Amino acid sequence: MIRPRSSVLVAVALVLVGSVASMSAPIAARDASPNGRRVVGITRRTVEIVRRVGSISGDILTEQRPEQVAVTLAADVLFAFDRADLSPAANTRLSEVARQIKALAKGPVAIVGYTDSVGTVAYNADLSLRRATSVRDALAGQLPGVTFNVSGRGEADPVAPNANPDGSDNPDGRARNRRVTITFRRAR
Amino acid sequence: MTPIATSTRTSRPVRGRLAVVLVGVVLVAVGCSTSPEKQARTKSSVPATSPSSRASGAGGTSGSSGAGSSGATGPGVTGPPAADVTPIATATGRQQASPIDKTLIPLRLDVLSLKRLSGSTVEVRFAITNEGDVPFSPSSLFSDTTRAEATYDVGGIALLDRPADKKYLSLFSTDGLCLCTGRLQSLEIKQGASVSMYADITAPPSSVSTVDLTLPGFPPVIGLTIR
Repeated sequence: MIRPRSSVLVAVALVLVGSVASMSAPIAARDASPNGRRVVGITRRTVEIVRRVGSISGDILTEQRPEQVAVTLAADVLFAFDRADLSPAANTRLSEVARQIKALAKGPVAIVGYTDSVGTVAYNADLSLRRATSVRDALAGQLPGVTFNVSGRGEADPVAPNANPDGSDNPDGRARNRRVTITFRRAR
Repeated sequence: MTPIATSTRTSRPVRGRLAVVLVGVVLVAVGCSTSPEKQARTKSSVPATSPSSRASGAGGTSGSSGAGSSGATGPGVTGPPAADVTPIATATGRQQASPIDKTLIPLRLDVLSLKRLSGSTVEVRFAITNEGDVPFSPSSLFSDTTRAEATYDVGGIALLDRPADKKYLSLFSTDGLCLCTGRLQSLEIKQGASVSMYADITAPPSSVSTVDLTLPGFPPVIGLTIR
């Protein structure tokens, strides 16, 4: 009694399953990973916020990250053209930097000089190193016990274009590239 | 469920297939039923957002011109500039209509709020209105020129504390994105239309309550109080 009925049911079920399977076949085929299992890793991303405060003229700019502070000084305020001895106007800015180092720094302080792209690479590397050294000497006088690492990168790592897209000179860009950066890790 | 917070952004490029379909349906519906009316409304939208009508309608709150139903008011970027917020200060400037179109057009900057958030941040909300008679494409006009490459955001905004000779710049994250309104390369502000924007900026010390605001393309807005 029950058998024929159940066999009909089974047949109907088989047809249904078959049709569903044939309908879903293209979808299954799209999933090309082995065993049909798809595993993707979760990337957790946290980015830090950079806070920037400068002077209105832009000759000093402080960038604070949670771990690190970088102060950029415009070389035009610190030095005369082609010179590596500090101008009188430099003292105010360097005292400001010394205050920040005292308040925030942990560990060694890196001082890096940069120039624009005018002049030879070797000359610019030398000029930027002499300028960074002058800044180090001035800061070391105010900060006994602090370790400084000094280097001159010349015209490397520009922060602005030295020339315009049409090849003409970009004096504003070159002025921004002439700089000394002071970087240190933050005390937490 | 009631949302615990809401944020709106009106922007023309609609992303996502579902959204496109929905907008399409709405457009078709509008097109079928009220095509002439829609054209009339598009034309009348210029005077509708002019300062005079805004002033005359200032007594009412935001509901009057369909502020709640952004889908029905046509192109996303149009609409009365912050009808529910009275600007705390205004500046006007003239700028090129786009990097290609050198026509100078009048623009209006309405500063809507200047609020001190926790974590030494000030959030500025403002609106830019095209008061000219051709569309305005900001492109990289408002970007931050102190960073290495031009960006298509309002990162060039800054707060000035002149007595202390300090300039407080926009925040950005270490992946290079400004914490401010971006994607301006695809934005076009139609004549008479207005777009609301925001920017997060490093906060001055709490002792400083009055600052000037600068945004490329406009003269400084002087003497703003941080709330």
